[in-house]
Amino acid sequence: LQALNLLNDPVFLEAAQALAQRVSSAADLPRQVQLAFRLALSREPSAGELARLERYYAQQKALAAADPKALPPLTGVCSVLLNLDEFIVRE
Amino acid sequence: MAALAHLLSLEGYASAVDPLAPRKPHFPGKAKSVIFLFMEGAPSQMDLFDPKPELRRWNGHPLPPSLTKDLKLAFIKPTATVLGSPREFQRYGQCGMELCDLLPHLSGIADDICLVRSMYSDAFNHHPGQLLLFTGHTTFGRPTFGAWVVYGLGSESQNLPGFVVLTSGNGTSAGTDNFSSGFLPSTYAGTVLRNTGDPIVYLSNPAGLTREAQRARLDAIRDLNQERAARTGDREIASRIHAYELAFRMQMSAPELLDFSGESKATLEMYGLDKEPTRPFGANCLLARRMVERGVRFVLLMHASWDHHSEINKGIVKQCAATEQPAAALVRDLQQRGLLDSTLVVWGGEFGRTPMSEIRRPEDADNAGRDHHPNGYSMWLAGGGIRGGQVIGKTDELGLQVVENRIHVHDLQATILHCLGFDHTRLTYRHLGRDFRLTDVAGEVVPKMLA
Repeated sequence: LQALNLLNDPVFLEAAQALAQRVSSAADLPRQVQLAFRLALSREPSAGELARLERYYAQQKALAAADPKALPPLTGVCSVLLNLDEFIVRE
Repeated sequence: MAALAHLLSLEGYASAVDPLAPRKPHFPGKAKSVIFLFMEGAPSQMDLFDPKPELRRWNGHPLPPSLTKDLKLAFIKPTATVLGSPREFQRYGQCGMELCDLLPHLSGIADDICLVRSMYSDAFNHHPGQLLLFTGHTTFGRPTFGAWVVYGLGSESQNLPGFVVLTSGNGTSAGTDNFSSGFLPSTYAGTVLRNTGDPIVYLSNPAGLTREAQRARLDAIRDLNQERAARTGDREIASRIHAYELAFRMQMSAPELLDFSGESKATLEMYGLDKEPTRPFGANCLLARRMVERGVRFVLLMHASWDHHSEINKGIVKQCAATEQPAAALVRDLQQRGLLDSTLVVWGGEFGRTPMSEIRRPEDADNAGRDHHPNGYSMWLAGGGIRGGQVIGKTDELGLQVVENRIHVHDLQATILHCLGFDHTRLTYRHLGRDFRLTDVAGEVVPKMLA
């Protein structure tokens, strides 16, 4: 049930949107993802993580192209980070 | 997925793909699901299930010290006077089970239930009593009944949680301790549905996300979580991954589960959904039946409270008015749909109440209640391999001690696990260097209870 909350509560999407806005100033997608990782998870992304998120970004971009109301892809990437176990649980 | 498979194959997960995938028990069991109607606070057995005419003769008098000296009493003194019960009992069904005048619907299914009058517990206060009933020990930290059952059997439902908790009335003393996963992986904990407003919130995708987009987002979350799990060896990440998958599936399955519009008027009326005060508990009972139909393994209904330290006559009438009809309706409905043989229903609390009275406000003529009493109390069970139409056990004339067929909470647990197909001594989990189980280091199956 916490999963449903974190995934679907508009409050968390707004947070993802805010994070996306903060990192959008970085030069390109890899640097945007890097900055988002530093801000949300206090570390750099691994090569695998970066590649996976670039792939997700492309997916969401394609979906957004067909629908102007769709979630912007960078916001989507940020919402993924805010749903990671690593973000939710402070070790 | 290889990392996920490895992670889940570690101790605690029986399936490499899904910790809740259905698993076979030790031997074929009649019961496939359990619906536990937990009546929190300790319902008064002599005012419901166990007639004690002697109490009327002793009314207003204290008992001989020889009878009361070893009682563990929460609030009253051993010198408290006896309280007679105003309830009238009659025999019902072919089996001739004596039930009181507050149980008209249950009386109609006397031949389907097994009434146990000889329960006993070690705890005389609510929180430890609830811990004992649900975890097998009066200390914290152990897995609960529902968690053990989904750990052992998995769940038949891929789209709903395997262990669900529904509440009504006021809160319970032990709260989340009644359905936690303890030291088992947290994926086995009970999922609580809300009892006001929408039972499950945030089921709809947020604006701007189709189901396809949601799936894409979930896939990315899962893959990153898996990489993290492989790197850190944190087993709880697997629970997290599973929770997200379940959330996605629940978005589709939960609306249908919660929609009663397909139920007939007759069914809704049978459960009492058409009126107060039966509507809240009735809705939970109906939901429990629908969940079991959809493969949910363990449904815990918690109704509070039966803790009648004062005004017991008023209080017990009120609680019966709210719960008695729906509880009986549930058994009937399961039977009519051919589900009773595979669904074990159990009704009861954490202990019973004293034959002696408790007076908290002496200035109030009707104030009398009863204190906690673990030495002899009643519960009933139906379905899932339990033999109905019988009464097991006897308490003495005053309802102080069990005199025939003493059945401890551990024995109850062992018997229920047996109905599910488990040898309770072999459904274990290694923790702190030894094997733990629901029944701790005790418990005997009660053959009389079995069909």
